Amino acid sequence: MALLQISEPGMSPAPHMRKRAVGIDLGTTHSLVATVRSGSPVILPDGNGDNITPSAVHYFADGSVEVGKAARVQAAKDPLNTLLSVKRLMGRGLQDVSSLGGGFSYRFADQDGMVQIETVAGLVSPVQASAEILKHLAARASTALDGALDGVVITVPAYFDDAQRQATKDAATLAGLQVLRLLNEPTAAAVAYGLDRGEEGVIAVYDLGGGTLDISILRLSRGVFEVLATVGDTALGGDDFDQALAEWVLQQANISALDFSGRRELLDICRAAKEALSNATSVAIAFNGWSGSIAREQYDALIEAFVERSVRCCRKALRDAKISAEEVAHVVMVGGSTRCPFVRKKVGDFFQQLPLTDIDPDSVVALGAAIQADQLVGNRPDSELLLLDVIPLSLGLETMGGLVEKIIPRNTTIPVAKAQEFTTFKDGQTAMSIHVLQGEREMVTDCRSLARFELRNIPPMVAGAAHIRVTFQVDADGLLSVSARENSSGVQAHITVKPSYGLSDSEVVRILQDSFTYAKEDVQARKLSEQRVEARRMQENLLSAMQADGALLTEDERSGLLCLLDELVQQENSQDSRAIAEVVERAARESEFFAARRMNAAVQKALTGKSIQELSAADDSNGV
Amino acid sequence: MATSAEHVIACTLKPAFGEQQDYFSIFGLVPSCVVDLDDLRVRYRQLQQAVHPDRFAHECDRSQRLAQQQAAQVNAAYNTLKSPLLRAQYLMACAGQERAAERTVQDAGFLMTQIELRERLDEAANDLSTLDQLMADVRKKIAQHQQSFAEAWQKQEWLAAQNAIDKLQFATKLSLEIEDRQEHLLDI
Repeated sequence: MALLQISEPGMSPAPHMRKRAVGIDLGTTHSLVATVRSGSPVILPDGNGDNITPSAVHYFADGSVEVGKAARVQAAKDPLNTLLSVKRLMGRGLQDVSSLGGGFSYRFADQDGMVQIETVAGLVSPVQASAEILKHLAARASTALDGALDGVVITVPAYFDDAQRQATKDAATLAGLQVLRLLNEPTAAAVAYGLDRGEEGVIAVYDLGGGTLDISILRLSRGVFEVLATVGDTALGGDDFDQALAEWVLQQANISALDFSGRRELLDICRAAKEALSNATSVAIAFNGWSGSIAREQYDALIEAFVERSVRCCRKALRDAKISAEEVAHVVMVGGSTRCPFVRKKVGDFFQQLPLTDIDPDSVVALGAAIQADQLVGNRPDSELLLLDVIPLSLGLETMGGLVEKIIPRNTTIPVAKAQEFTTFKDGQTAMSIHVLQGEREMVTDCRSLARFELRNIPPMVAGAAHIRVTFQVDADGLLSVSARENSSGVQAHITVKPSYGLSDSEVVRILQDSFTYAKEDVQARKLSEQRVEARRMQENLLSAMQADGALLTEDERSGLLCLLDELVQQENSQDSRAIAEVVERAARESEFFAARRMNAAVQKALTGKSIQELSAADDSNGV
Repeated sequence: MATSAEHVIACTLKPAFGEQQDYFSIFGLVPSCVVDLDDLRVRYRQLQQAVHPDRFAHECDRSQRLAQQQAAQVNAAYNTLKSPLLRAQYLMACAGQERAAERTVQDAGFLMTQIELRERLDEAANDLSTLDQLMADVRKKIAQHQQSFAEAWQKQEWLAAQNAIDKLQFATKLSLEIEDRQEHLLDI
């Protein structure tokens, strides 16, 4: 019954009972921690009064670390042991690193399917490095709040997939923190703007950070933020602007090769130049004996393709939300990269209004997270604030032919549970492999593999007789768990898998080893698989059509179609996708007459049925 | 409208929303083909205010799990009732009229229209305004099929109701294909 008492109004805890809760924005380039004091969210600065802490971890040979500014200055001197932008590596495998683009100058290794970084202190995972940053911020907050923290809210990009979210939560667990909620960054920003007070309508949040882009469309009503759609790109951000500018400098200065620390130094210079260009119309750049300057228009041209890509995401988000640009009441700008005047202009043009920028775009996410943490920990029971978020990417299962069957579509409000029934395809099959995937594409190889497990001890039955119920559950943090159960004959088998990364839970690691097989974009393999499914489908269609309407065929026609079937069966397992495609196409062409004849027959049948009805109606009216 | 909050409390006293709990009664509504979406949204938000796990974040794991289940159930009900197709299918299931797996549409006129619409989609190829016009037509069809379903359901003419659902399904699928094509053309 305590369940109900909590929501009763007027039970605000006395001040001395207030719990210590903070919001942490764990960012790609920098991180912040905030709390609510006297009803207002404030950033907790470091000893020097700086709000922003670089997301940098410097490892020493003895295993000790320094975090933040002290670590950041080591980046150029000791690049291999100073980890930056680890957020881009969260929940990722070694094979993913190449697709993340340049900017990483580490020695990568693979352990249990997770990417690791070789340092003087040994192998370090992105989860461990993130945990160091979290510990650093939590320690600061504990000091400021004079006691251990009761709970934290950690923000993640809305577009983070399950692996990235799980990795973030694991980092918090490693850091010894009680996570109240993983909160999507755009949603946090909307909360920070306090638009819930008295406002109704649709808000768009444009969040361009160092390494990620998120667009969320929210509908706001009476304190409830309902996320309608979220779209993003986990590999697009201000870091790309730095890279583009660096390439330009290298070209201008005629430099062809750079070592790690040279590259790091150049990127630092470019980042400073980029920031200066937010206010100045032109800045001077000097590097390796070369010096020159760049005008804002030149810089805008360098980053235009990236900004255009982000505007396309805005368009997609509106479409997904079924909202037009005119219906958007406010546009909230988040992330340091939105200081760039060109970005503001392009986003403003798209939404046909001046975006909101009054809260510092670097702080806004942490401030919103602090408000949410304050509420979740129980400090403001009267608040109406409620955040209804969605999953950013569809969740599904592998089915025949390497295809993905979607179970929960993207932009579904969480928490959510959904079950689907599957069956066996072989007689006497006693085990079934369940492969969980996330993504929008149809092929398994194009989606992210989250987990793979086996349901065993299915009682032997004929193919298709088993009823295997697979249940997907996504909690309010956006984290997935999957269970499966066979219940056709009363015998039940049950297993629950929660994908996890970075913690040394041996069973979880075993699952990971099986599952973290990232396939590269392999057009050939996909084609082959698609063609095989196509060939099989064609066989089934032909067979069932012949069974149903064989009477419509002459003997010659029947044997012709049987030949086609034979060929389909023979070619189905060929390694040559083109050969399969050819026979499928020929089968389609040469059976077309049959399809047309069947359609005609169906039409005839329907028409006849109708006329008989009409006839009998007429008969009735004639009193016959 | 006050019923929503009371309703939730009543439900928490019972074990939880069972899987069998009727989606309409979750929102304090009686089963109907026609749902006022604005009203449904208001009820949905009120329910989530009461059951969402965020309301129990500082409580024990058990409360959290219970809240999670309830919020998921409310979301499932909301998603079903706000979609015309899912709502119609749900109403049929409630009436004990589950769809037979291997039914095919036999209405010649409908098949012809369907073929014609598909041809228009193929012909529209890369022309956005043609696609928009086609979409408008398909939406009209969807509205018509909804109407026929509602009439059949009211009269408990299950065969006619199922036929209307089949058609609604065809048209809905086509509208999704048009959307895909549009998005492809818009490069988003």
